[in-house]
Amino acid sequence: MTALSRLASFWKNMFHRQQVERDLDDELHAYVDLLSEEKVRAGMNPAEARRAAAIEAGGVEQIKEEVRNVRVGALLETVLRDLRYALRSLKRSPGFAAGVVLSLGLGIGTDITMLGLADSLLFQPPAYVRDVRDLVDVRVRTYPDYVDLRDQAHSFSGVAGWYAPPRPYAISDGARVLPVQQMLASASLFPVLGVRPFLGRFYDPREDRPGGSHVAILGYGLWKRQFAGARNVLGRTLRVAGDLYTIIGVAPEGFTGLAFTHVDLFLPITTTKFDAGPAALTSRDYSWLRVVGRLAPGATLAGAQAEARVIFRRSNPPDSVPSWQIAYLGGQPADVHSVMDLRREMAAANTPITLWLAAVATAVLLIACANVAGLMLARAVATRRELAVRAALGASRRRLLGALLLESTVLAVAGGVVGVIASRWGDALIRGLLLTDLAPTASPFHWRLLALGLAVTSATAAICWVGASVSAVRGNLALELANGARSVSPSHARARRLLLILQLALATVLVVGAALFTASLRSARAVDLGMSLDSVLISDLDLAGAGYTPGRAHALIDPITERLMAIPGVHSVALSDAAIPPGFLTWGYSVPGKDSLPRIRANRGRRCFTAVTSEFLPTLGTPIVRGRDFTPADRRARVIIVSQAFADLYWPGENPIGQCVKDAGSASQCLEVIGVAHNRRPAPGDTTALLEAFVPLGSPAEPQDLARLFPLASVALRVDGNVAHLAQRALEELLPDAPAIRVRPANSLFDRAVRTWRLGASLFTAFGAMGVALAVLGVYSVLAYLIAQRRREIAIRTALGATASDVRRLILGDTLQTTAVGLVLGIIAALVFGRGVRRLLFGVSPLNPVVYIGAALVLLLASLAAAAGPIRRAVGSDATVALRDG
Amino acid sequence: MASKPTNLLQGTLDLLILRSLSLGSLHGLGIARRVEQITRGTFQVKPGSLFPALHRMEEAGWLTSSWGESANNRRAKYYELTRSGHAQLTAETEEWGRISRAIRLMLQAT
Repeated sequence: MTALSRLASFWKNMFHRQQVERDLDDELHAYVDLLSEEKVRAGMNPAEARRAAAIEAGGVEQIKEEVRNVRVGALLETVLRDLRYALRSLKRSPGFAAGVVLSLGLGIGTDITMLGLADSLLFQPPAYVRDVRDLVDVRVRTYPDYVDLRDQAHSFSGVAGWYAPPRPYAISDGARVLPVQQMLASASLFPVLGVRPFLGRFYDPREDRPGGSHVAILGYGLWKRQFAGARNVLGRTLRVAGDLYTIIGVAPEGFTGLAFTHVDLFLPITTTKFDAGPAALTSRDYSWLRVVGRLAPGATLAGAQAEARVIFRRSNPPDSVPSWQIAYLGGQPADVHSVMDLRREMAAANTPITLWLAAVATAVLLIACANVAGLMLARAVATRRELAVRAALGASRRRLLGALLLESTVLAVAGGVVGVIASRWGDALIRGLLLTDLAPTASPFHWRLLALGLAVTSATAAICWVGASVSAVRGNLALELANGARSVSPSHARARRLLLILQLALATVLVVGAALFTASLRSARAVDLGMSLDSVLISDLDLAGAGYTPGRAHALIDPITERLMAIPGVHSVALSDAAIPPGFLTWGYSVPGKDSLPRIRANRGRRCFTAVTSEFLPTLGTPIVRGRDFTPADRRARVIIVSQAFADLYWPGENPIGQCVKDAGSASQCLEVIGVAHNRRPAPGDTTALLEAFVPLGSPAEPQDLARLFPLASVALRVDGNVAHLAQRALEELLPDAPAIRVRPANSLFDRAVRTWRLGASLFTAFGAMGVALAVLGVYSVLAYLIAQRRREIAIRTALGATASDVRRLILGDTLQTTAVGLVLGIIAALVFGRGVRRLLFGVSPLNPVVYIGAALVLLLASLAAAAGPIRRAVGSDATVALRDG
Repeated sequence: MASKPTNLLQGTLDLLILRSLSLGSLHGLGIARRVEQITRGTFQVKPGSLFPALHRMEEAGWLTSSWGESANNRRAKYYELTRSGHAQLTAETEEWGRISRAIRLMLQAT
């Protein structure tokens, strides 16, 4: 009954508001009339009675407001009315609205983009993987160890091995040759992860056995790109490293196994052609695999680890894995970790910078918020008289705050919509330009993005609202009404100045960050790698993968060298059994009399053993610092060249030349040290210490086991001019079945390595520019506002004899003071920030004074430029006009 | 006797209004005067609390209103109790009786 009646009233209040209001008005006026009539009857004269009645009734409008407040749906009505009011007032100033929405949109957009990236790197499970919590990564890296685990462990319902080669390999479908990103996967990978094929089927264990079938699963992307998404692709063949593979299925869109990189082709792991090729399937020396297991029902991580260790120790005697290799493996052999830990480890190179950039994007958003709050505050002040009138008419302070909240919500939501759209675009941009090997987020659900957008938008609305309302409705509104909006309110001026200082401080941090990362990028590019690669071309050959025996491969050394030397512009040609980046192959060795020294046992430098042709070191520009380089005659000798770090570790203060080094594989003979090479670095900024040793390729010094795994892996050419395509053609003709021939500048190897700084430099610069632009806008609007507020004061000063330069000095001093405070706070914040990113920087101190002074100068100039306009207007204004108009 | 008008307890106002309307319909001023008269000036109902209460009670379905003529031929809005208003009056009267008995007991106890 009551509820029904309320519903009816709600209907009337919502849809017949005018009638309800008119009724109320009539009722209250009738009340006053009756009251004054009563007083006339009591003997008052009519005029006096009316006055007394009005006073006694105490403000018809206030009573109305009270009645409205108790009506059913009062809250909704208030919100709707304020919403209408907010929209109307925004429509009145479209420039303001557009500026605010755009700057909020950019801020929200960048924030969502970076937070989304960080989220996908750190927290999102790999796409299509079922129950990721039961999946574990086992630190077992050789194929025989994987097989042991697969066949013997009971703690797992399934165990799978996978390997994603770090570079694309060529495939051909008969007509075209294309480099594609491949993944070797055991047949068990698909059921262990719980993924279903998009088309066709996955291969089964019978097809993934040594000597098994050559079958391939297409990645969704490759299927769409190269096969136009044709359904009849099943049964067609592809040539991969000389062998024909039959396509039997297509993986679902965005499926990458557990890798972050996109995958174009899945092949049975037993058909491997990569790096060591089939030899990798039998060697316990060759670490390459990742092993993933699904815990059996009831099994625990600790139990699985204990079992994995027992199984590992059965075939690997204790101490067979030296400490330096454990560091390389990322943990004790057979350790078991959650798969999300592995993902975080793999993402580690990109994660810190992404998180910092998310923080920076938040700073940009804060600057934008400060601007919006400032603008809203200015408007609130301009409309303060209106607010005061509304307050006098019975609007409560809460209602006024509610109206401001609604206004900031309207703005933030509009900005959020722009931001979500911008972030889709920004995400594609960042992945396309800077994180090219990262697979796009495959998650078909974008609720995380929407939730993120919602969270960031509400936070934005809240911040803007707090900023704007801090002083908008503070103080005595009635006094305001009496004084008029003309008065300078110190609390507004202070609030706006605070916002300005916040903006300037944040912008300073951004500029400092941009400078630090740009300097890092420059010094990373300029770093001494121990090689000079500016006019060097390289290509992978991976002859092991194509099934070459060491003998066959070594027989190709001379033909390849001669053929490439015949190309005009090629100065020297070098071949190697390892990929070009130093530190690619780790291989133990032994120095008689030194191995047991604690100093050497404890050293974690990575042991590298590389077989090279005699032109190798000069081609890559690595100088010999002591002794001599190889000669062609050394191909029959037992000689070795070691790196400076190697010599310093084993023979400190002694002459390394003539010393004896043995390869750790077998009871081999002494190799005589003939020279010491300059230290090389794996990549700019990579501080991994390398203890390198070089032996002549194809010589008796080359360890036989190593030669079997890696007969010939890469070629390097020192050239003049652009001859890459000629070299490419020559190599393809000579080695038609080599899978990885791609001649490219050697410097391109390090694109990935300098990525952190490139990402930091480019995004910090973009965000920094945005931050400075927003801060300039802030300075401009605050000054314009403050000067408008002080117009009378300035006019009086002028009237009393102040010259234009006096006025200019007054305002300029004010600006400089605010700017200086902002800069000082900003520099303090930047110092803290610099400490935080210290690990991400390279070759530049986070305390570099030039960076800080430069940033301060940039902001000072920007701030002065922003101040110029308002100051000119203040000086140019006519004092008498200002005084007369007030 | 009462030197100062007593502040209306929250909730008492509803009861006073219901009671004053139980004998017949009245307009706003009439209700205020009736309350003053019956309580001998102890309670003075200000329009700032009277009208919100009247509208709230009308929306709850306890009162209905209609425009009519006052004694001096002036238009005024008259309120009267509905069936559920009578029920509400009974309920609130009982409730009030319970409370006042309880308070009296409390005050008599030593």
